[in-house]
Amino acid sequence: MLKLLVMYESDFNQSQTSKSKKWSVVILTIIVIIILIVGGFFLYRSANSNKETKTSSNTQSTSISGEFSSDMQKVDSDLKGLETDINNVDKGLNDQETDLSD
Amino acid sequence: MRTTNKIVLIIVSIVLIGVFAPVSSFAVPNSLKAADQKQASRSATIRIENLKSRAAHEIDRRIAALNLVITRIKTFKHLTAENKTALETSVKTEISNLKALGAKIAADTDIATLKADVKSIADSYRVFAIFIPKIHLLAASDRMLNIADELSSLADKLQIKIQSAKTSGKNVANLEELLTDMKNKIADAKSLASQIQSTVTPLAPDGYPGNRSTLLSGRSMLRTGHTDLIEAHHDAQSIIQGLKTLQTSSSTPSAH
Repeated sequence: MLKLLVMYESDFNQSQTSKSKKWSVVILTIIVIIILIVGGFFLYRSANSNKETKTSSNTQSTSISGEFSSDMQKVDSDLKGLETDINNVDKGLNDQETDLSD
Repeated sequence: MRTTNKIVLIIVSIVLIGVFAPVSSFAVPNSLKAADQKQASRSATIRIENLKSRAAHEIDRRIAALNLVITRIKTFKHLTAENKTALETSVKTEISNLKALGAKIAADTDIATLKADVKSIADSYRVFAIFIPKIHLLAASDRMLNIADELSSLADKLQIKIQSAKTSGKNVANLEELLTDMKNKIADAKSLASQIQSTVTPLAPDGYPGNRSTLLSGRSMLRTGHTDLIEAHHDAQSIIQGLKTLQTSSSTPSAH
């Protein structure tokens, strides 16, 4: 009877150890999965952040050009007008009065 | 005796002249003389008509040019209101005087008077010699001042951007140099435009041809001012490009 009891206790201990190992594996797997998810999330975020910086840089460059484009176009157009004015002055000064003496 | 011969000779000569002179007058038939007179009269009429037609054409050409000038004066922004009104009034007076002269020429019958009146179209009014070049110079100098104002405002905006880049630690020495050059060029163009206005505004037709040198000097200042403004515009372009480069380099992640 005593022998039977000892055998039962030994089986029980073995079963307990195996269960404990299984749990350890499950917990470890969960931890690895969590690490992978969190890592993946951080990697994704970092990649996105670079993209945003690049877009922001392009936007800033475009905004600098855009901010001054109307001013520059106005000056450019007026400079062309001034060239026409100068041509008029040249033409006016080269035009001699017609000799109307006879 | 000798004296008597002389007297006889004189008397005979007078008699002979008295006899032959009427004969010689009959040598050219009356009909021919009349034809010549008619021809001369026709030539004179044609000449008068030609002169009148030419005068009318020249007056119309000047009035058309002066009307265009009035339109241009109305767009001036930098001439004082007083000077603008005076200029416009003087052009209108010129047009009225030319119209009155045109009417007088049309009614002229004496060739000498007509010739003098036609000659005065050019001599007294100097529309093309003084008036038109003067207004063109004033128009150009006015536009020069407009452009200088636009560029000044642009320079102020660029200065703020450069200062902002400098505050954030960027090297903006080259941009500051360009901005200084831009401002100097604008100031030079403004000064030249003002000189053109002050020297050209008082020019009058009766000062011609002595005052032509002032017009030529005005044109020279105009060209220099134009070059100044083009260079200031180029400076602005370089500054904008420089600011873009600074922003791009600051936002590009450095390689490690």
